[in-house]
Amino acid sequence: MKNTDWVIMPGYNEENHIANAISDVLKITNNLIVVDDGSIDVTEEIAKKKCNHVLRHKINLGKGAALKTGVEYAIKQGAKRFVFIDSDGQHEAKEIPEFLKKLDSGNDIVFGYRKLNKKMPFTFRLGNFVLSLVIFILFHIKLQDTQSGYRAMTKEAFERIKWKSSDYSVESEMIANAGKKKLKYEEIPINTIYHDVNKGTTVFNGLKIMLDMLKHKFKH
Amino acid sequence: MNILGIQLIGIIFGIIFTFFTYINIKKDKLKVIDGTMWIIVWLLLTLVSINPMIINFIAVDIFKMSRALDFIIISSFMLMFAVLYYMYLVVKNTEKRVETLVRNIAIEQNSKKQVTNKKPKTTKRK
Repeated sequence: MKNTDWVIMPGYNEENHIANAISDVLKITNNLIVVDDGSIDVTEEIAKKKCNHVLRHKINLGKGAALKTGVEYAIKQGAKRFVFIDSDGQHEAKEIPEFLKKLDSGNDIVFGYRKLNKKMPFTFRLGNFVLSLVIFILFHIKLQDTQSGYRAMTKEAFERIKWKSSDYSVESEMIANAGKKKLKYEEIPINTIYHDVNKGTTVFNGLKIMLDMLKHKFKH
Repeated sequence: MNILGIQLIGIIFGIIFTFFTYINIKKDKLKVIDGTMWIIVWLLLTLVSINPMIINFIAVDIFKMSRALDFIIISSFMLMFAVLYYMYLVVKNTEKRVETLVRNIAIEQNSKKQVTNKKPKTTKRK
C-alpha cells in the first residue's frame, strides 16, 4: 500500500467489534482513520487505544457525514485514495489490497459485493435484487450489491461525486452520482461475516432508498 | 356600537400580542421583517374583532363564499401550511449547518492533536 492510501472506518456504538476491526486493518496499513459518529458507548475510547487517527462527532450525524469527515481529514494527511470499511467486523481487511489493485487498473471507484450465500438473510437478498434493478434502470450502473459499504475511490472521484446525504443513503447516492458523472467502476467479490441478524437495511429503509434514488435522478 | 365579550377578548388579544411582538423586535429577538409580518396579523385580528362584518364582506362579496366561517377556516389552513413550510426550510437549513459544524470540530480537534504530538520535545542541558 502507498503512503497516500488511507482506510476510513466510520462507527457508531461498535464497542463490541471495533477493536478487532481496527486490529484487522492495522495488519495491512497504519493509515487508518476511525470516525466515531457520536457513539454513546465506549467506541471512541477503544479506538483511541489502537489507532492514531480517531475523530469524533459530538452528536450522531449518520454514516454519510462520518465518511465525509474521514475523507476530508484524510486529504489533509495527503491521501489520494480511500478505502471505506465498516467498523462492525463484517468486512475482512485482507481484501483492502484487492480494492487498491482495481484502482491501479484505472478505475475511479470500486464496489465490493457480498457473495450470495445461505447465511445472508432472505429479505437482504430480495431487497438487494430490487435495488440493483432500480439503480440499473435509473443510472445504468450494473451492480450486484448496492448497499455494501466496502468501497474504494480516488480523490478525484470523491471531488466529482461528493455526496450530500448524511445517513445510510450515502451508499445509494455514491452510486447515483458515479452513474451521473460516468465514473469508471468495477465490482469485486468480498466475504461477509454477519454478527447481528437484525442489523442492516430493513424493508422500510429499502423503500426510502428507492425514493432517494428517484430524488437523485432528478437532482443536478 | 355594542361590543360583545368575545370581541373584547379578540381586541385585547390582538393588542397584547402586537405589544409583545414590538418588544421582541426592540430586543432583537425577532427580525424587523418577521416582526412586522406578525404585527400585521395581530392588527388584522384586532380589526376583525372590532368589526366582524369585514370578514363577511371579504368572504361573501369578494370571494363569493356562502359563509364567512368557511373563509376563516380555509385561510387559516393556508396560513398554517405556509408557516409549516417555512419552518421545514428553517429546520433543514439548521440541520445542514449543524452537520458542517460538528464535522469541522471533529477534524480540527484531531488536527490540533496531531500538531501537538509532532512538536519536538525540548530537553534541558545538564
